[in-house]
Amino acid sequence: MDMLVDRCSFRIKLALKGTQRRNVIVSGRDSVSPGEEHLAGQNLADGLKQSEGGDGSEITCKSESESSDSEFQTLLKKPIGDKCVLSNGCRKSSDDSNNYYWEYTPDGMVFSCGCKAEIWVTKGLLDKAKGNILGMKIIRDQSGNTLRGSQSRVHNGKLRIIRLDAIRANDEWIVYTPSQAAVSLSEANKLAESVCLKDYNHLEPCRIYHAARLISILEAYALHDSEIGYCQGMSDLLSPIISVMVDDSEAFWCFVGFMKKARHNFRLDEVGIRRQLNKVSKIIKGKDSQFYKHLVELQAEDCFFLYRMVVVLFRRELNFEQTLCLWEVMWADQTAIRAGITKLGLPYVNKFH
Amino acid sequence: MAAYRADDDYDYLFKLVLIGDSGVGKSNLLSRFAKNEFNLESKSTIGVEFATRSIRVDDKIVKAQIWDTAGQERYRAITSAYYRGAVGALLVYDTSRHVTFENVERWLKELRDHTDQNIVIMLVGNKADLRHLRAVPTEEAKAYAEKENTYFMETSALEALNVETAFTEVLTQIYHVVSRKALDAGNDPSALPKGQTINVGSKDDVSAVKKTTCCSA
Repeated sequence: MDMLVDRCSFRIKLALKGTQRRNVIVSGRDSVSPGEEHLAGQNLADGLKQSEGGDGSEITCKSESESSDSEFQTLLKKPIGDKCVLSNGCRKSSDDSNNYYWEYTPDGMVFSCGCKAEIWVTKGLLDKAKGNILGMKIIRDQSGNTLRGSQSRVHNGKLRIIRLDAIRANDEWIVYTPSQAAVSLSEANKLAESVCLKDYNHLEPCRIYHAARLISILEAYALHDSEIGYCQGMSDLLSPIISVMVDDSEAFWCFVGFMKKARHNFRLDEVGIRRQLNKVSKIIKGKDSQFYKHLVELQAEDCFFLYRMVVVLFRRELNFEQTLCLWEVMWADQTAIRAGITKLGLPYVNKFH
Repeated sequence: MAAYRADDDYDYLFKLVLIGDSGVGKSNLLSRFAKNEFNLESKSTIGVEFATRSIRVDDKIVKAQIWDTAGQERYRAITSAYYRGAVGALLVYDTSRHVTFENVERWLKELRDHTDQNIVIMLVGNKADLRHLRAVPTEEAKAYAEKENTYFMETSALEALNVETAFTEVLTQIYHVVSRKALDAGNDPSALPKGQTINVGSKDDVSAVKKTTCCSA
């Protein structure tokens, strides 16, 4: 259990009622080498096999250590109050009893729940996530309080992609966010370690820090929106948000709000993005028939060449400042439409309703 | 013939696709071939991205239109549109990560499900510069390529090793197929080019079009 101590780095608040808190553990460690899957818990020891979605392969799960588990059980039973160090050594800084949250540890996420009902809510959340980012199996112990999940290759594979993308995030934001740019190497390394970032030695501290923040929030998002999970391009969308927001939990919820609309572009069946590209194609056809004719000649009227631009909202075409400007205009526009205000200040009438 | 040839002046246009797991270096192979550039921190590919480059094969200008796709499974629904009309494919794995080689089978299946069975395929083991981290022996990959009847080459986009050769080889093979088709049409089997030739289907291919130029002089 030593590994759990003092490694907490991240928390996310979910607005759910609760008083007494209990912990729910979901294994989320990325340090497992391929083929050598293990678990932080004993409850899964009895020959549990997890079937992975996709390729149908089976992975046998083993318990890591009985003693550490029983120690863990004892720790779990300790009452957890507000503003305290959690039983597993993770610090809990929120004193808002209406929130429940999860935290990162090297061994996974720790969920803290208020009552049985909330555990079921959590279970539902985790069940949905099964086969997606965490590729996990949810297990409850006899007392009904502890949920544990196994890791799988799918899990590791997807986590690897998030890490790969996080490390590749650019550093344009640095000049705009001096406070984050000044982060110390030890602080950056500590955060990187807590999210199991690898191969980052060539990066400057602020970029390590940025990458680690990207990982914690993207992993949390993948769990939160299990249908979509993590998809390449999301790091491009999140990077400007965390650059202007220092607090991870606030950045997370902003990202969730942002993704309410943007998530459709990441759907597995690509219906959302195809619809968008179709619209662009129609706009070009209506506005610039000559250009459209040219596209038809090139067999490019499907506008697939705009795929990336639409998915990451021109993030890779524009610089940091231009991106923020464009996005703010887009968001303001959407908000104005929702509020029924047009550019002329007249009430917006939706023709389709 | 004037010394200058315009960018869009070519005799053949071939569509190639680059496929393989995320992070094996597809985009860098492409940028190395198309622009002689390499970027250690290149961004992940989203959906599909494109590049072109023309090379000379025999006395003809062959223009390669290369489609670089995202390796993440998520971007797979686009596939049918993506493979449509492709006459060549580079199936890339990372020589330092065995799992990417294991996945080659899946990629090959997808490729064969969506393209003409006679498409020219080359298995490409990239990151050959990471010698101390090698996880896929050359022999293993070579044997697999022989079994699957594909071409094989190990490359390093970083060191610009074999990148040019790999693309040129694929384009040349496609060119041979297309010229053979032209010859077949002329009923002259004795003039078949030497070496391995692959027939790209019986019906005309959209992408392997002989371009009639009006300003080639």
